[in-house]
Amino acid sequence: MAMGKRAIVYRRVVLFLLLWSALLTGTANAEFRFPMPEFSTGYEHEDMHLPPDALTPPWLDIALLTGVLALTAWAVLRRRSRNWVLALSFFALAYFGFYRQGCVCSVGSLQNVLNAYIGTGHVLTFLVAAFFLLPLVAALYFGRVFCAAACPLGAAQEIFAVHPVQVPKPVDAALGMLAYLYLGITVMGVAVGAGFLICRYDPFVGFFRLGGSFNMLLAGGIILGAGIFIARPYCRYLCPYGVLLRWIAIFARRHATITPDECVQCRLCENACPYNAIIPPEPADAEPRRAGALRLGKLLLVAPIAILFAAGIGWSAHPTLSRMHPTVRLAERIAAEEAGVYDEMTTESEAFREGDEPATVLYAEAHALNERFKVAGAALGAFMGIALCARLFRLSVLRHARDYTIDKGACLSCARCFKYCPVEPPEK
Amino acid sequence: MFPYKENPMQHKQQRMIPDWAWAVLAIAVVALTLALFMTDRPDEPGEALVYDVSRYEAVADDDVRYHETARIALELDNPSGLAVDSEGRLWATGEGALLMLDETGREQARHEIDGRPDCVAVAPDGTMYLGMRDHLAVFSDTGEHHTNWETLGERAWTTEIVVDENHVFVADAGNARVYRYTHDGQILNTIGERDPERDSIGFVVPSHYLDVAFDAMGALWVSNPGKLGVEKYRADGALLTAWHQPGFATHQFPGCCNPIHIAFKSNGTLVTAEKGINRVKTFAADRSFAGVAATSEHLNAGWNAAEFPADPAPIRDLAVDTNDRILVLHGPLRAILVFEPIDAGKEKE
Amino acid sequence: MSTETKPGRREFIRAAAVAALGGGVWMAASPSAEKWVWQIDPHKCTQCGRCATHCVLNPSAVKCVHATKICGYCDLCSGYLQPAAPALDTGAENELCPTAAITRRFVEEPYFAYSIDEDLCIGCGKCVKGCGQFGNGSLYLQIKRDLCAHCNECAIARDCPSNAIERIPLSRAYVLKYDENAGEGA
Repeated sequence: MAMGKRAIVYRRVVLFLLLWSALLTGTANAEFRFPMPEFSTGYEHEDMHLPPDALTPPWLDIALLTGVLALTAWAVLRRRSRNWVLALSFFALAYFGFYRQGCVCSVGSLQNVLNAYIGTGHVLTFLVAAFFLLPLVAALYFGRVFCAAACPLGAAQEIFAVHPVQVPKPVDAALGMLAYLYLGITVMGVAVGAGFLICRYDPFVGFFRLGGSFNMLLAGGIILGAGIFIARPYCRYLCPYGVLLRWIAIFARRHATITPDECVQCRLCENACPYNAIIPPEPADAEPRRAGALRLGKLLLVAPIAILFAAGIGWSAHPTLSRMHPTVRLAERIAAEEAGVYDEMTTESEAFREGDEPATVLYAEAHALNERFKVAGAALGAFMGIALCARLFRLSVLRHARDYTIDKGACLSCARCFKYCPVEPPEK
Repeated sequence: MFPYKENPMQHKQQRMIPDWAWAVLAIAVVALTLALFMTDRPDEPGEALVYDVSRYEAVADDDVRYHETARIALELDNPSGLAVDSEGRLWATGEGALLMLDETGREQARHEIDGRPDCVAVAPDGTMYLGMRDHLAVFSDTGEHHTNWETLGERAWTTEIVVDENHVFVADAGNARVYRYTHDGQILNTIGERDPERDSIGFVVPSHYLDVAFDAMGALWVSNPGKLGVEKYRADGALLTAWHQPGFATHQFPGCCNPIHIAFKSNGTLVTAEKGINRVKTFAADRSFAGVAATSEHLNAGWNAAEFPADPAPIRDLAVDTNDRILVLHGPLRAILVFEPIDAGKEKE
Repeated sequence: MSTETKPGRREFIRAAAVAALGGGVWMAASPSAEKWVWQIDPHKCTQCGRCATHCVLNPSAVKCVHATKICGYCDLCSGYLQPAAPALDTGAENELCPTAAITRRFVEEPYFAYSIDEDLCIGCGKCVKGCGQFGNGSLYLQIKRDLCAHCNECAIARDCPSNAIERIPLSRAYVLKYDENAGEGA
C-alpha cells in the first residue's frame, strides 16, 4: 500500500506541475489584445456564448451500468429468462451504444486504467474507473453478466446471432488466442505510449455514431455478418476485456447453470451453446491415468521452450511492432523524405518540419522507443507463449464430470441453454 | 448410463461444414478484418478544408529587384522600432533598451529604458522620442529622460513617430489617428480621425499597425491598413491623396490590414512591409510597381512562427537610410536586414 | 460444489480481490470527482484541418469560436473571404468557409460583425487560419462539450500533429482565446 500511496502522491505532483506549466505557458502566449473598433452607432459586441453543460452526469452512467448488471444477474440466475437478457441487451445497445455513442465503455476503459499505472498522459476519471471495475466485480460474483447484456458491443452481436452454428473446438480454441494477442498488444500500446488500440479499432462505434471510415464500417459489417452464424465473433476472438472477464468469471461465486436442478443427462442442451461453453460429461475411466500424466509431462517439458521461443519471436518482431508508435512512424517518414523517397510531406512531417526539433532528436527518440519495443515485444511473446500453454494445459486435462456443466470462463450468460433443459426447477 | 461415447460421431454427422473448411473460413475472415484494420486511415482533410496562400506567396524571379547585402545583429530582445536620424545613424529599440548604431551597424551607444517602447524617432537636434504604448517619452541627446507627454488614453497604442523641424507626428493605432505635436508636447491637431460632418470614417485600423512616414519632399504619408493603402495628408489633417491597392497579386496588399509599415526612398519610391504574406515591396513615385525587396521565403527563413504566437509578423519596422538602402527590422531574427537593388539600372525609377 | 467445503475462506479471498482491485483502480483515478473535457489549446493549434475529418463524430464536435472582443470587424475579413475573392461581396464563390457557416452583418461603415453558425460549422479551421494569418486571430477552434462524445482517447487528440488537445477538468474549460471575465485568455 506504501507503493500505492507514493504513486498517488507522485501523480498528484505531476498533475500539479502540468496544470501550472499549462497556466504559465498560457500567460506567456497571451496574444495582443488590440481593442476592437470604437463604434459610433453604439454597437455592442456579441458576448462569447459558452455551450450548455450537456455532459451526462457520471453518476447516471454508473447507476445505469450497475442497474443493468444487477438486473442481468437476476435474469440469468433467478429468473432464468433469455427474454429479459435480450431486453436488457436492447437497452444497453440503445443507451450505451447509440445514445452515449459507445463512450464511455468498459472495454476501452481497460486502457485508461493501464495508462494510469504504466502509461502517461490522459487522466483516469472516476467514471472510467467505475466502468472498468463494475463488470469485473460482477463477473467475480455472477459470471460474465456484463457480456450478456450490459456491453453494447456484445448486445449488437447477440442480436445479429440469429442462426448460430457450432464452431469446431480446435478452430474455436485457436481463434480464441487472438483475443490474448489483442490484449497483449493493447497493453504494449499503452505501455509505450502508442495510443489506445481498442478505441482506434472498435468495429462497432462507427454504427453507434452513424459515421466512420469506410474500412472500419466494412470491418464492422463483416464481423456482424459473420456473427449471424458465428455468434459474437468480436467477443470471443478479439475482445481484450473479455479475456479479463474470462479469467475472473472462472472464480464466480454464483454462476448460471444449465439446469435448475439435477442434470438428467438428456443431452438436449448439447447443441444449445453457440459459444462452446458447455462441457460434456467425462467418465473417470475415459482414458488410462498414465496416458494423461504422460501428456501433461510432455506439455510441461515443452512449455518453457515454447514460451522462450515465443518471446524470441516477439523480440525479433520489434521493427514491425514499433511502427505502432506515431513517433517511430514519423521518424521513418522523415528519414525516407530526407532520402528522397517521397516528394510530398504528410501532415505530421510538415508539422515536424515547422517545429524546431532537429531530426536527430527525433531519430534518437525513435531509436529509444525501438529498444523499448524489443523488451515489450519479448514480453508480449512470452505472454502469448504462456497463454498458449495454459490453453493447451486446460485442453489436455480431462475433467471427470458426471453432468453437463458450464465452462464459466467461456460462458457469456446469454441464457440460451436454459430453455433446452427439460428439468423443472425444484419446488421450494 | 453415459450415452456420451457415441456422441462425437453423431456430432460429426450433424455438421455440414468440415473442420478444414472452418479453419480456412476463419483465417480468411480474420485476415480480411485485420487487413481492414491495418489499412484504415481516417480521411485527410482535402484542399477544400485547408487554408493555403502559398501560391500567392510565390513571386516571379523577375519581380525580385533587391537582395540582402548586410545583416546587422542586434543585442536587443523583442525588437520593436527602427529609425534613421538626419546624420544617417540607426536607432533600434526593443525590450528595455535603445541602441544607436553607425551606418555599418556598429553599436555606438546603448540607453537602458524602462519597459518596451513601441517605436522611436530622433530629431535633428538629437532629442529622442519613444512611443510608450499610451504616451511619448522624451530623452535628451545624452540619453537623459526629459519628460513624459500626456497619456493618449486607455485605447492608445503608439506605433510610429516621425519628427521634422517643427513637429512630431505620432501614429496611435488604438485610437486610429495621427497626432501632430509641437516639440514641447502640445497637440496641435489630429489627422485621420472619424469625422461624420465631413463624411469621413477615418483610418481603419483593425490591428496594432498604423504607420507614418515623410516622403523625400517632406510630405506626410500615413498607412491606412484597413483600406489596404497609403494616404497623403497636409499637416492640418486635410487628405491630399489616397492610394489603395487591395488584392492578392504581388503588386497589391493582401488580407485585412496592410501595409503595416511604410518608408520612402529619396527618389520618391514607396517601400511597404506587409504581414500575413510577409513581404517588402517598392512602388515608384508614380505608384507603379517597382519590384519586391524581400520575399516571404527570405523573411520566413531561419525562425519558427510557432515560437512567436504573440506577434507572428516578423517585420517589426521599416526604414530607408541616407544611402537609400532599405532596412527591415526583423523581430524573430533580432536583426536589421539591409536590402539594396540587385542592379541599380534595372530598378524602375 | 467445492465452495461448500470452505465457504468462509473463498468468500474472504473474493472480497479481498474486489477490495484490492477496486482500491487500486480507485486510487489511480483522478483525485477529484470532477468532470473532464477535451480541449484544444488555441495557441498550439495549426489548423491542419484534421478536426473536421478525424473526430469520431460527423460533423465534428470541434467548432469555430469567435472572440468578438478582439475581432477587427474588418470589411475584408480574411477568415470570411477567399484569399483572392474577385469581388468583395458575400457571394458563395467568395466565401472561404466550405459550408458557408460564417454569417456577417453590417454594423456601420466600414465594420461588419461575424458569427458562426454552429450547425453548419464542421471545424476545419480554414477561417481560423485565414484570420490568424492576416488578422487578429479572433477566430479559433474549440471542442464543444455539449457535442463531444468524451471518448476515452480522443481521436483528434491522437492525430493532432501539434499536440494541441488535452483533457482538462471542466472547471478549467473553456480554453478561450480571450476571456471577457478573466481578462487575458489562458
